[in-house]
Amino acid sequence: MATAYEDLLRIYSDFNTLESAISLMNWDRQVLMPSGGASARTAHTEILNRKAHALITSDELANALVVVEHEAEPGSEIAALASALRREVDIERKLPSELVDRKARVSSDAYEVWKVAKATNDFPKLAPYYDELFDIARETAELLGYKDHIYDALINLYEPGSSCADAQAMFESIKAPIVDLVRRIKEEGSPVDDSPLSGQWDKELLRKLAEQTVQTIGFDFGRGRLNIAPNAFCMNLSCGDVRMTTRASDHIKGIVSSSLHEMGHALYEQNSPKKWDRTPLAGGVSLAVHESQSRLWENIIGRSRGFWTRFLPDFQSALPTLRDLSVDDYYRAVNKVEPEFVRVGADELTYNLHILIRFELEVEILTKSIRIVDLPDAWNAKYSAYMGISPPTNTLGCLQDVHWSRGAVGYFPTYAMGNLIGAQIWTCLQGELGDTNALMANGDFKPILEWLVDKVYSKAKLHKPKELVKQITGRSMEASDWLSYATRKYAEIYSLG
Amino acid sequence: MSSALSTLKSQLADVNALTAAVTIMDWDQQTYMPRGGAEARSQHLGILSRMAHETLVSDETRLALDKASPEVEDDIALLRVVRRNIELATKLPSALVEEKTRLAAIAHERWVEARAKSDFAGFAPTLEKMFEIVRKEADYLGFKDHVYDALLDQYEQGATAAEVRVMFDSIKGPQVALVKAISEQPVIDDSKLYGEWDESRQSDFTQMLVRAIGFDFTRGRQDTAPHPFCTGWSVGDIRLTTRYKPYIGSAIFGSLHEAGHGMYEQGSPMAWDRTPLAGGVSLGIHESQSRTWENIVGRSKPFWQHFLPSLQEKFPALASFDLNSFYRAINKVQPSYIRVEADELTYNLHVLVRFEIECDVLVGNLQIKDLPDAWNAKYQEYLGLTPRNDAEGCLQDVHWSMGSIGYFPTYSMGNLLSYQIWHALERDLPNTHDLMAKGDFAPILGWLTKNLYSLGKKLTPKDLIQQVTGKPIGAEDYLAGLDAKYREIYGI
Repeated sequence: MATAYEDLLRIYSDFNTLESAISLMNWDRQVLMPSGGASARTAHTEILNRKAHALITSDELANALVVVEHEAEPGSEIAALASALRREVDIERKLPSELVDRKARVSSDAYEVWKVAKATNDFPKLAPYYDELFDIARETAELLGYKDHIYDALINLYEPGSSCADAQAMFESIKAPIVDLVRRIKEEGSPVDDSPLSGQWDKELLRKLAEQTVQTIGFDFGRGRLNIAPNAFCMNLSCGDVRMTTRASDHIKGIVSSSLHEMGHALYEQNSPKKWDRTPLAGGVSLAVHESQSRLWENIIGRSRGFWTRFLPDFQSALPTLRDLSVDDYYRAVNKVEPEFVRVGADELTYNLHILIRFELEVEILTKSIRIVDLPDAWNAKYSAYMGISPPTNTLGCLQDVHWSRGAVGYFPTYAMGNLIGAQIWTCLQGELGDTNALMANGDFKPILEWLVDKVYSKAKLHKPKELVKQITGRSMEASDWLSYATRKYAEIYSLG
Repeated sequence: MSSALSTLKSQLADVNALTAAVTIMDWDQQTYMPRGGAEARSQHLGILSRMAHETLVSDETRLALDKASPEVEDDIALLRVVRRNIELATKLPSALVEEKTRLAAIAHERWVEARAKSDFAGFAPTLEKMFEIVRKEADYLGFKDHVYDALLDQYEQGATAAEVRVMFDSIKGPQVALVKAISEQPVIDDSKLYGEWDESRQSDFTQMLVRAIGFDFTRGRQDTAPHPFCTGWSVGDIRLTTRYKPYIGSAIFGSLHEAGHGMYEQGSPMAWDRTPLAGGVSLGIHESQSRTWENIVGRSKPFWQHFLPSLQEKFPALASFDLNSFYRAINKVQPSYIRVEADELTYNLHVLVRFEIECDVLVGNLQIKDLPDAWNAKYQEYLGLTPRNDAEGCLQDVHWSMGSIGYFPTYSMGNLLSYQIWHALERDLPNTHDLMAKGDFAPILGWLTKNLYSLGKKLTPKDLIQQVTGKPIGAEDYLAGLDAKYREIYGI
């Protein structure tokens, strides 16, 4: 007779299979699907989602899980697996399928409306959907339960163990220094010219360069792919099949940054241990830790001097107009700081301000301090206050992100947390590996990747996110490493006194 | 309260979604999946197939089927199709279905490897397992006369091994005679059709052709894969694959062939999308359409009267062809090793070899380890040549790695039916020659859509053939068509 643990693995494996099918269908939808396939695709993924939900909320699984929790030795791998699954099961079981279906339906409609509203600068068209989706978020939060703040329940969906207070404390500690640094750059910084980074380049040529670059670093194309899609994303069907997309772009920063960003996510997934594949332990532990890796590879590594010492010659031989640039010119160009309206593609410094604005607005909308109709004004006011710019249209303002139209409320702070955790992990890595700039300049990414695999990627979901950060860095997430990294880097680039 | 019929339909929608997941994973495995994904993919495919199977044969579905009564006319056909599907499926235990799917995923990888290295021994143990599973399948499905009947019926409802033998007997004599008469004529020189053709140009050109004959790219696409095939999971999303070879006809006729399958699928009414009524009714009839577009249309003189100039523009190396010499070159008859590249005339002999080998392995007259020898001997006997290695011999087809045994005869049925249906079409459209020469394929596709494609699975295959052509499947139109065509080409 099968043990409870075997039952658990079997049911989870069925669940994981449905999730993989849905992932492949979504990947195909964004990369290859002809438009005529859309309605069947929606119907198919809805049915598979319903089936997956039925499995993860089944009594059979819940019963097996209770037995496994009871029998597992504390601190054992099985205990960790049960704990990872417990979280997933609890969330799903607390949410009635009526609410899950409603959210799926409304967000699917809202997504289509969002695309039109964004293209036509038509906020009123989308407003009723935001209203309903924030209602759904509130209802979800009440069902999930929370102690201090309604936001806690939602952020916890994406970042286990995190709270509104955590996010507030984080922003409190970085807000003033960033605003101050950005102001000093604007007022005192020696100008940076990044115009050579855009040109009338062949998009396929840029994509190939991106492909070469990620391959050199260590992305395994025997276990993954890189395609062009309207949105950059990374998804995995197993640790042996991790797919990234990048946006077609004629701007080097665009394609390189988005490829390195997705590569960070992908390396994390590719290096999840094979023995845990298709179990609750597989894959990245939380969105913030995931984002720490994408931002680490995109920014801390991908916008470093060492990195471009290695790769600039490759780019110069493919793109002759870059030949006059020195590594230093190039390094400064890819690190240009300039407040802009759009979060995606924002520089490292102002990026966190974009996130802060969204976080504050989410909290205010959830607690009904502001109404949806007033969102554009509130949005623009905050951009003026924190960034000194005011979006001329809602397309460049509160309609720019897809997240809310998909019902993802409480998600944004994980981006900023990722920045902080990335710097914290990097500081630790540097402490052990020494001169990372020299390694990168030599194209020797292996020790860096191996360190990350050892300390982060191979741990998958064995620990809770907060425990993992503490285990790796010896501390809880905090702002000091990121702040000193950012201050040092940008003071040098902009020759600030 | 929901009716039994609506419960049934909702169960079928679930089966359809799970099957769609299987199909897209399989398509992806052959087109885009990195190698590292194979292991998990085989697990996923096995599990999804089991779920689809279990949902189809569940008490809930069967109870609903028993109680369901038709509400509109289409429901009558729906219930008939579902009843057969469930019958076929309930006979197979789900463990066997899952085992087969899992083995198929591994076998596919092994086959690709073995074919690349021409290493039959590396594939043999997997193939042996596959035949064992299939033999078990036949036992579960049941049969009266021959183990092969059970397998063939899955692909071609109602067909039997005895019928297939009759078919081959009626065409073998005349075809061998015609091939012999041709062999006494001067050999056609088609050497200029071989070369190093740029792949992206081939892709552009074949997509242009496929679009021109009527395949709808807003409801489908064409990609590259080791083996050309057509698949899909919605009337609105049909996927073709093609491949590029030194023989330029590989991509061209392979693409037209798959597009024939694809247009049949795209021709189902949207109202039937995601129901068991959508899509082609049987493999034989499906193949009749791929062969129609590949051979009757795609290898016709008027077709190239229209397209030769654009082909020559894309590939200047072909500029020296005039229409007649090109037409003769693409219709060159010559026994060869590879089925998918065989000419129209010898094609059925390739199928015959496979049919006989399948029967022999199934009844235990032939052991897997002896398969290459048996294969080569039959090629020598029917086609007068012996493959130089197993890659161009018994490793050339994907079918056995997928466990599709009993499938091959439907190709020959398709050949016969393509001429039989075309004959019926020409009664209504006597000017097909002029239409093709103008590149106006809409009336032809329109006729086929109206009389065949749009009927989906509403009629049984045998009823459908009767309705479209006025008679059951026969060799008469096929033999007459080939005779006229090749006597003219070879001046016999």
